Amino acid sequence: MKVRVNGEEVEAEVEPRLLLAHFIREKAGLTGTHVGCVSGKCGCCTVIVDGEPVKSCMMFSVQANGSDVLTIEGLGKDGTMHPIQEAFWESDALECGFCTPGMIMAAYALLNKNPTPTEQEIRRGMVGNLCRCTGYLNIIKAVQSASEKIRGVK
Amino acid sequence: MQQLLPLKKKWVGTGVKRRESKRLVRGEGAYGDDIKVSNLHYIGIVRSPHAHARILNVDTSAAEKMPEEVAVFTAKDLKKDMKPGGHMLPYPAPDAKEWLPGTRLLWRYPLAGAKTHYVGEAVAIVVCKDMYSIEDAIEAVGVEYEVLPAVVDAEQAMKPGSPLLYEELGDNISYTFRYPEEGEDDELKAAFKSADKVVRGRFKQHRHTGTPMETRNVTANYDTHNETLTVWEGTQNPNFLRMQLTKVLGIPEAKIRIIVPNTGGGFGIRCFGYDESFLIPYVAYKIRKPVRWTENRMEHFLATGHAREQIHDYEAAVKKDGTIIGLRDRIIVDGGAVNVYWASWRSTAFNLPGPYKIQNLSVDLYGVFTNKTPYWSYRAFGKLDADVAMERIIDHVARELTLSPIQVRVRNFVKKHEFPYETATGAVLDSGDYDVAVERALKLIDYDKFREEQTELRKGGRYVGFGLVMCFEPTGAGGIVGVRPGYEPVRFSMTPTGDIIIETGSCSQGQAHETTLAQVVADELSVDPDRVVVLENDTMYHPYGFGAYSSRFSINTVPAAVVAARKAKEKIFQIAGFKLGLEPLDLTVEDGVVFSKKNPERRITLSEVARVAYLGADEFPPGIEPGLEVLAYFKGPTIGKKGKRKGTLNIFSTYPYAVHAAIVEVHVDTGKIDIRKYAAFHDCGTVINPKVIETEHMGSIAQGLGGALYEELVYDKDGQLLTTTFMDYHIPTFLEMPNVLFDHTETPSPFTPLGTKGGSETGTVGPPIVIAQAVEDALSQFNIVITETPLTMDRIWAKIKGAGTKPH
Repeated sequence: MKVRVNGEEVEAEVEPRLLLAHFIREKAGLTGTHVGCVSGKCGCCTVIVDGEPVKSCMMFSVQANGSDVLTIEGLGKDGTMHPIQEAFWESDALECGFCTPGMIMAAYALLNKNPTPTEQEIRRGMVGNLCRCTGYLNIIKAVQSASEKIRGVK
Repeated sequence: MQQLLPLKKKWVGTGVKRRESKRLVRGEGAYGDDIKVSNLHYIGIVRSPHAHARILNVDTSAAEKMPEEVAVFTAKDLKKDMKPGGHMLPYPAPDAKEWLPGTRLLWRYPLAGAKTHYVGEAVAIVVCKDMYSIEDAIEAVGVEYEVLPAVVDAEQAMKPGSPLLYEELGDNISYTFRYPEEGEDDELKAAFKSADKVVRGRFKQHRHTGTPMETRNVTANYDTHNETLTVWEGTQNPNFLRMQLTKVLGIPEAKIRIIVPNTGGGFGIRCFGYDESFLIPYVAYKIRKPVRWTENRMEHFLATGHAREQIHDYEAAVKKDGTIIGLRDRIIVDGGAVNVYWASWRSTAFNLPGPYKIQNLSVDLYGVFTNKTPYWSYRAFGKLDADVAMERIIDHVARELTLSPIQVRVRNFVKKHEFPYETATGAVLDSGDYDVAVERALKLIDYDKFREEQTELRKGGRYVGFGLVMCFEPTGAGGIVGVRPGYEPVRFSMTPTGDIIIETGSCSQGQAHETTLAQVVADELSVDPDRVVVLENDTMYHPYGFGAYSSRFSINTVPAAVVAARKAKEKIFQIAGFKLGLEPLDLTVEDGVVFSKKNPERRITLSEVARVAYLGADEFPPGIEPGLEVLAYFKGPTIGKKGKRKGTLNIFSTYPYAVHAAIVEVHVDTGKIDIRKYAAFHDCGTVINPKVIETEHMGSIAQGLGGALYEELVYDKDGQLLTTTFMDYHIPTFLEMPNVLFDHTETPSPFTPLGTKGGSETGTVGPPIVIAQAVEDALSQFNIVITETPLTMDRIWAKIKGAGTKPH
């Protein structure tokens, strides 16, 4: 199968049962996408497939054949940070960082659909991503701050 | 101890951005499963599907025939190669009995042999060349079991005739702790005789646990060239693991290296050694290939520690004015199948009186074996369990005496002028002002406004209630002989070009050690924090410390860094003084420059001093050694201090606290609890980074909230765990976490150089008790009493229905 991951083509022979999350980690060598539950509940494995947020542990890699996949490593080019990454850092929206790549990709998808979400819309929109360290409140602030940064407002 | 704050407090107290976050937001943190190792082989674990069974046969022949399979191990192999172990000790220790008073000693192997005692227990190991083949290999191992009746209730397990987990013990008691040692003293008996009332009750806490987002994983490799075993594990105690591995595997400790990678949350659940912590290194050593085991989430629920399941049967002797003059607590801990973490239960007994002046106290604690996952150390380990009981006891007393819960707390509080205060169990409470915290919490939540609102809302048929509780969390565990030394080391080095390196014996699972230590040392040397590099997590290179748990970083590691930096500064001034021809006492340092207080133009940079220290042979004062490396230690001065009463001692260094207040609404037709307002007012002494502390508190409160309302580990009568995914075990999501009104005071500890007390364990304590009290207030017309957690909708609804009275 062949997938474009962060703009680069990755080709590999895979078992039918190989999950997309493991394809990204093992075949594409990108370990920023994490596996927290293998049952689609925690969201640590969230990536963007053909523009939509997907829990990559709930998709077989063959289902992504021919698709475009964006992972955390694809945000921010040449050593710069994407505004969402900056916002997470400044708002102290992470501690252990394990849920963070998935959170950032989920926020990316949310802000693409809704550039000015309210607090409630952020809570609902990101409910598929679990965090055990931060208590979520700073993540909400980070998404609000990211929204402002992206729109050039501040 | 003198309170010696640094020269100019510029960085301590500032909410600087965490430097750790930079790599983590980019997905560049290398967690255990991310580490790229060539020729990596994968380990899968065959686990028991039965809670209690004899293992008749383990047939590995089918697995061994598989082409992808590399090796299979069972208990038979372990018995040939390994020594047995247990109980958190570098074991087996000849003086184990002395080090583990009250513990039923059970030396065991990390694979079940003749019997299995809980669902999920490791029975066999398979090793494959690729990750997915593990599942096939596990299925191919055939285990024959003779199923035995399981016991899943601690009280049942204590009764004669109960199934026995370890027949050789004759019963299911895994641990006992009794205070006072020689039986109740006359003062306690007298207190009960002279009481105006005796308040009796039972409070049950349920089984739940930490569930960090990263499941456990262990990678190991035995390098035959330098005969070194390297283990990568997100453990909270790397050196303890090293000590245990040397005893169990027979590899010299000097040839064992533990590396702690970026870790996705600890919360105490990653403390000490699990079976896999020994199995994976053993396999690496045997097959001489690098191996990795990564837990899946279902395994995590079955095989990673549980916590909090305790029953408290109490009686309190009280005076009419609310003073508690005597307290007896009989505690039953449902300890699961293995008694590794007895320290949690010892801590429960220790923390029972909390912030209250209850000097007449008796505790009778039983740890009990049941066919369930072993009880471990989850955030505020054991101490939270005591807090919850104590606060509920206070609420019960208030109800019996028709006093307000706040009144009874304030009546019994240790007062500001009474610190340091020794409790009945030997705890030396360092400092605080509990009354002020209560006042401030009431202001924070706008209590007066609430009581007006409550009356109005009640008229409209809405049930709104208020709660206020004390969250009391001893931190900095130490002083338990052989197991928990109450100190930490730090090595300070300044390189010849002037960079500062701080090395610790600690490790982080997200607590921003690198950032906060840099802030502390930056203030000590008056430099920019960016100039300070903090290194930890590798036992081969860093000083011998005991890891991160019980908020020890703030209480032991940070002070050790202060001591090291100050010793280094002395040496720096000696060298600088010699170079400048001045007395060291005349010198000071600011912004990286050492200069004379009298004549500031007489100056020399820190970098220049460093060059001299390493390379300036003749620019050096006589009698001083070259270089700028200092190894320093800090031990809490009150750790291990024997108490007034026989058998008591102080096992925690500092005593932070918080007051939580909450306003809830209960929907009587469904039992649903809405949190309308939540306030947390805390005091953890001197705060190094307020931003970090606030985030940690929110996470702590979220865990407490989960424990209060949503999370529950449920077993059926056969010992099958029914909650093994996040679909059954509900940790709070974005939708459950309320906004929190947050404020604090900083009452420094007299026992640490900067006054730090550590931590954000208090947050976890608050929600179950404050919500229980608020629900009782909301439903006061129904006379509802909360006697157990969690406060799930069905339980609250059943209580309302069962109350029988109609609301008016």
